[in-house]
Amino acid sequence: MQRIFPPGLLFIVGVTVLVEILARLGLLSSYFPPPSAILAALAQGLANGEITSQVGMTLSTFAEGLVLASVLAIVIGVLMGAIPIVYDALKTIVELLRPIPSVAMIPLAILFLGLGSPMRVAVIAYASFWPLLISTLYGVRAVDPVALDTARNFGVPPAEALYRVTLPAALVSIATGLRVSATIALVVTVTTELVAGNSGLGFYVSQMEQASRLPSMYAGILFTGVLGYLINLIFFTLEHKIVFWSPAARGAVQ
Amino acid sequence: MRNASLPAKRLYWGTPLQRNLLGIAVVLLALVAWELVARAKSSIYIPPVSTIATTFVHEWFSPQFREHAIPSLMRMLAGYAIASLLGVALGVLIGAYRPLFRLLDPFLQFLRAIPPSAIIPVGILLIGIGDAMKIVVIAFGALWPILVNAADGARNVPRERLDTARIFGVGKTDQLLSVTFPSALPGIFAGLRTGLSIAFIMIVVSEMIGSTNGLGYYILQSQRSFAIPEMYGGIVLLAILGYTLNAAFLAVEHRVLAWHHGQSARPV
Amino acid sequence: MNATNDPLLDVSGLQKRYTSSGTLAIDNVTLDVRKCEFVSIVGPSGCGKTTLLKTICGLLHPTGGSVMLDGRLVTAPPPEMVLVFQDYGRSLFPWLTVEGNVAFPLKKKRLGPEKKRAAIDEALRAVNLERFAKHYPWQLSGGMQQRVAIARAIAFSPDILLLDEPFASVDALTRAELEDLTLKLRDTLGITMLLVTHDIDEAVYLSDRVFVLSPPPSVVVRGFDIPLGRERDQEGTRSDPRFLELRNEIHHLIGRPRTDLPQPAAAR
Repeated sequence: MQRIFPPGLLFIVGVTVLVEILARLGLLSSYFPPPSAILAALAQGLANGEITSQVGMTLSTFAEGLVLASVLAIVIGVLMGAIPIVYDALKTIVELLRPIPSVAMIPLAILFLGLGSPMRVAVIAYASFWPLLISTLYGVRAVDPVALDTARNFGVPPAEALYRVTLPAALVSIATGLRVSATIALVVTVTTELVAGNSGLGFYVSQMEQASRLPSMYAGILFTGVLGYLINLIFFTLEHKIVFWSPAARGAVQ
Repeated sequence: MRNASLPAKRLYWGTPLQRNLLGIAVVLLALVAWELVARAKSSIYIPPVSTIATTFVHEWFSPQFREHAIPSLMRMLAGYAIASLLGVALGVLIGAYRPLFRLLDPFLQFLRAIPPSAIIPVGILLIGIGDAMKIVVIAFGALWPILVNAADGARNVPRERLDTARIFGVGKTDQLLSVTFPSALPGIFAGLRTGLSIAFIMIVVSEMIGSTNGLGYYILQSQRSFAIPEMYGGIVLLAILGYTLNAAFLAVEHRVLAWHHGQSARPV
Repeated sequence: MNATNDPLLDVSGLQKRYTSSGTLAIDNVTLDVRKCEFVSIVGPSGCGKTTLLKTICGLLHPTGGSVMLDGRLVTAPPPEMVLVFQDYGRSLFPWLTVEGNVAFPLKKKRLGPEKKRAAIDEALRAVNLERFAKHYPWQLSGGMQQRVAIARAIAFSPDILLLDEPFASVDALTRAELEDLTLKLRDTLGITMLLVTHDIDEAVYLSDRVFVLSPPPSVVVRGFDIPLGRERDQEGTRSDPRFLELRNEIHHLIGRPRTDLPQPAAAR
């Protein structure tokens, strides 16, 4: 039994069954429906498009925000990492803005962009910007000076050295930062939808709560967990592949 | 001028003092620019820095602080404390016992993937809108990174250390306390650091969704009632609090993990 | 009670199978160590020497054969025996000072504070580290760290010390110092020594007897008496013609595949 089914999976199934039994026996709060009802609502929501359409919205705002943040973070991060004067000029601003939780920016974003998708994209981008910036920055700064010097000795101009030596070496850091940013981006997407959204999974959950359609509400929450897990898995695998590939890249440059 | 046989030198410029001052100068420049632009355009959305500053002083050196900031801090710290105690205790236990880890890990990974703010509607349903709900939601959000990192730290104790303890007749429980736990401290602190920022975020979110006071509520309300300088002021206060909490945390970590920092700094 | 000629440590027909892969690490190891003897086990790297020591020490359970210490069967790490690991970085506790590490084994001994202090000082003095009591292990050099590990072992007042390639991670000069230190400890504290190494010169230099271990599944290929007397010194002993003769003989023996088994698929 242990060989075929990982014990962890069995545990999840076991817990679900236990909760099902407790719910049916009426031992749980009336606000917590049995898992079977939740799963049924999930299946229904997926089938009739109720949940699927919202998932689409969530994913598209997520993607927009993440791409925006990534482009900005990598560009600025490389500049800050490679050019000390840029780093020194911007570092204080970074240190001042970084501790502000992205959710505090929601009202500010609403002010300038109203309610709706652009506002959410802005907040998501703001939140996922920082981890990636820091990772890129450190990745670029940590590049082995000997490798750079070698390139210089071979007459490689600084801009090209950046592209051929620094970036591949910093790629590992960037990949890690990207994973963290992606995870944060999803959480912030759902959060903004909950707080001030008009579409997306977070919005769906709050709607279902207000309509007292509890199995659907829990189904929505369940799905956000699934989404979060999948996104983490994707970016983790990506990071892993890059880490795996990276020493080879460095070797090719030498 | 660059000698091929010397190691590459970074293009550093100026003295350390100059480098630090540049950053501050840029910030001051940005603030001045803001002030000038705000005065010129006089848009309600971009109040001048001076207005924000005076509003800030007026609002926060007053009962407002007690009404909003203190409750926020108290709830946050309560939730964080619960998450820390539970997370460290459970995490170390789970990490130390392989079979337990294999059993619980997938379940924990899934719970961890749920955005904590999604729990707020459940919390409101089950517990209502009050301090308890916020504390529970904060604890739920902060628990996972703390637990997972503690488990990771406990899992990666070098075998030799535990064997040595066994050789010296140290029993299993004592091993957990005197060897596994200290070994896991660096990992535990990594989790606690993440948990702190999550707790900070969660207090703001939970106060924006279901609350009648607190910093999150204050900022959102200010925006809704177009008290714009107040809104900015609230955000600034949050930034200050965040910075202070982080600094306090780092100071504690620095003391507790002094041995770890010293060890990592040395090339073995 | 043991007669003076009965061995302190009696390993007979020891067999150990790795639980994860089922392969045989140790097939049939028989050796003995008499009181106050210095015995070395030599073999090529990767021949399960660490597994052997861990099984003798009671950290692992044998799948066949037995280990007897002072006439009693070893089923768990006995208080009279301590194992010193090769990798001091992974076995010393970085959150404790040198004297904290040395004091660790005394937790279970229930000594009064003065006796405890005395035991710590004595152990540190025996390895010449009294001046570094308040340092952290990672602040010291490799050789000194290994001395801390040895001091910690001595503080436990064992009858026999098992050493797993203890000097493999230090430079040659330090190794010579540590070798002589171990000899001195045997003489002054009366501790029996069982050392595992891949360095044949070291084994012959230090020991009264040397056992040669084959590659896995390991057996004792041969035992050698080392009649070089009690007094050893790095220059004199190592240039003694009998020394050279013995080390050459052992050298020829090592790495020869077992002739009574089918050849392994690939030589390491």
